[in-house]
Amino acid sequence: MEQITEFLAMGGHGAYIWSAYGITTIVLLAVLVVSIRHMRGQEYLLQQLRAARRGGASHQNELDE
Amino acid sequence: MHKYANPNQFLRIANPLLPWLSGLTVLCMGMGLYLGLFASPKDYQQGETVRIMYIHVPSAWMAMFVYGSMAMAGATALIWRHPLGHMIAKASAPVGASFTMICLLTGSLWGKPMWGTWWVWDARLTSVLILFFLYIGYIALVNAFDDSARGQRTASVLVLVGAVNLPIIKFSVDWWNTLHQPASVVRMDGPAVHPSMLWPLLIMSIGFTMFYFVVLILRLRSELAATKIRNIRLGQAGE
Repeated sequence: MEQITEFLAMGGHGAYIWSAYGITTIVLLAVLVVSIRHMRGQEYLLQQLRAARRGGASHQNELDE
Repeated sequence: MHKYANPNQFLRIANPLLPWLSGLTVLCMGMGLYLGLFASPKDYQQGETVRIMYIHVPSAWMAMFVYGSMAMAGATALIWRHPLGHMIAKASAPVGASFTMICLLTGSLWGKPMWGTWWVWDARLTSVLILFFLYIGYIALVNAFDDSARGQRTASVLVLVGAVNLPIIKFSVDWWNTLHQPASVVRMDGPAVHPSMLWPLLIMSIGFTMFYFVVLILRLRSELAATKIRNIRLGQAGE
């Protein structure tokens, strides 16, 4: 227990060190989550649009890829 | 070479790499955290606060590396008119801006206990702040045009002009009298950091680099899907 508190205290500078690591974790995770969600949203929308196009058979082969 | 400039081709190669790159990211960051927080010694001058170095320095390197990548991607896109270069630049910008923000904030948290101040307007800190504004400017500019191709071209020109800031950041600690310490890893006479501190630093840097590649691939996929969506909608509007 004492070892843990000593580790967390970081020689009295714990607040600075843990804030630095905390901010880094939050920022990197936020970038990752936002990127994944955006990608899924766009790829889903693209699928929907393509399915809709296949449904309306009058105009098929103009634009794919 | 030109074959791979096609975003579809590029992603066909990059996509299978995604799980490997993700695994490497987790592995390197985990090892970096363990070595940085537990296994490495405290500094004889700075005490435990030296542990901030293991995220501050890699994020500073990434801030410059990502910007350099954007400048190169933007330049090739402007010269050869390949869409992939602009897409890489646009997909990289938020990652680079985030690393720059991490660098500034962790630097501040390191400066307060060691220098007694959160911020000074010395050449190193100011030039990194300018780098952050260049990222923000790029992101604003690339999204500011209705014609996305024009936005990408204009923003890539901004990145190229701003690239002059990179050597200024690197050499600011030599050219001016800064509160920030001079380079201790990338030096002509080799690193002046003990291996017990150099290893966590390098491993964390590899982890950060892999993280950049992972997010870059994810964002390139978004960009490519967005382009196709736009084309489909333009096609529909034209009928």
